[in-house]
Amino acid sequence: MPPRLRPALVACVAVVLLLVGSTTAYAAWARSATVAAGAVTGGSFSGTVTWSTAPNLAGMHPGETRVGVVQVARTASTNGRWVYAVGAPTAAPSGTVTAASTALAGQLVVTVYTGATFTGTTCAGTPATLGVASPVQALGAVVRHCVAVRLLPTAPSTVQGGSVAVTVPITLENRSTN
Amino acid sequence: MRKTTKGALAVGAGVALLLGGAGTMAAWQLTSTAATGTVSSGEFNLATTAGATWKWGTATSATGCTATTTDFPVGAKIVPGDCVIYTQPITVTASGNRLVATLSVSAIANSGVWSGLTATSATTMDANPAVTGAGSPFTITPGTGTVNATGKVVTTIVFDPATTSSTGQNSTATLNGVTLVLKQTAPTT
Repeated sequence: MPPRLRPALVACVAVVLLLVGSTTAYAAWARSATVAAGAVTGGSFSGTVTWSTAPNLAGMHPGETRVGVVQVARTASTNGRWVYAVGAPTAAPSGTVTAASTALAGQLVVTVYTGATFTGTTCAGTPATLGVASPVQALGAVVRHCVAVRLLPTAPSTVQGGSVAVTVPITLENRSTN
Repeated sequence: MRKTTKGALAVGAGVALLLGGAGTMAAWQLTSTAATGTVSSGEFNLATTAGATWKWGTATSATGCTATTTDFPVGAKIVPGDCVIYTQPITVTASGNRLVATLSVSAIANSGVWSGLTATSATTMDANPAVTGAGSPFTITPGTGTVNATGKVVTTIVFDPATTSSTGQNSTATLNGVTLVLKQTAPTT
């Protein structure tokens, strides 16, 4: 072969070797992203039960009824809807327990009514069902119930001078916000 | 032989020798260019896109939630029975004739989560011929085209309606979510 042809053939062989090179080192594109939900905070729940009209129970005589209005409300800045249930009212001797107080407690009938108002000594509505949750109330709702306290007409004279505390238990429970 | 004839013969021989020599000699040459044309690189991107939403829901169980269309305001506080749904759209863009990529999802640890609070994330990709897989990892194979695959990450936060006492009141949980990784893999051929 004429010598002037040799250099061109050598160059072609070298290029082929480079193309067939190693496959073990494989560079790879990669991207990442974070999806964070952030922070969530639990609310709070509290409420109040008060007498919007406190019944005057001093000096009751047999057969007499006295009335008042109990009010149930949620505390401002708390969260969520709510329900409440009226428990069985109680009458128990207050202060120093005496025979008269004990006797008096057994001669009182306390009734919670569905109505929030009264006329004279008569509560509006009908006796409320005790222990059953109310319909769901909105966050800022205020509910009231008339409460009648009656000293039985058959109360004996031994109850005279007795002192009793009347309690209407009401339980509040939260519900979801929506 | 006459003298003039001798000289002519000698010149002819000299010319022949010069033509047969191997020393310096001009040679025909030809130059040509082999053009390779243009080479383009593909595209590879993963991004969260606009349109993220926060919605109220109603908890149906300790971990179940029924969504509503009501927006969950920034800073709103949750109570037992509440659930919140956070939806973040995502887009995967890829091109490359031999490109194969996987999209994987991994959870990030949360902090401050109180008893009765659960947070779960689910990533789905919208129907696309270049995307396969029912869940992480998804496989993206653009082929000869460009893929703009869309999907979403849905985070559901549930406050168990059966939570009692005052558990979770005024508590704050940090939900760090998930990390999405889009990674090129070696082609099979």
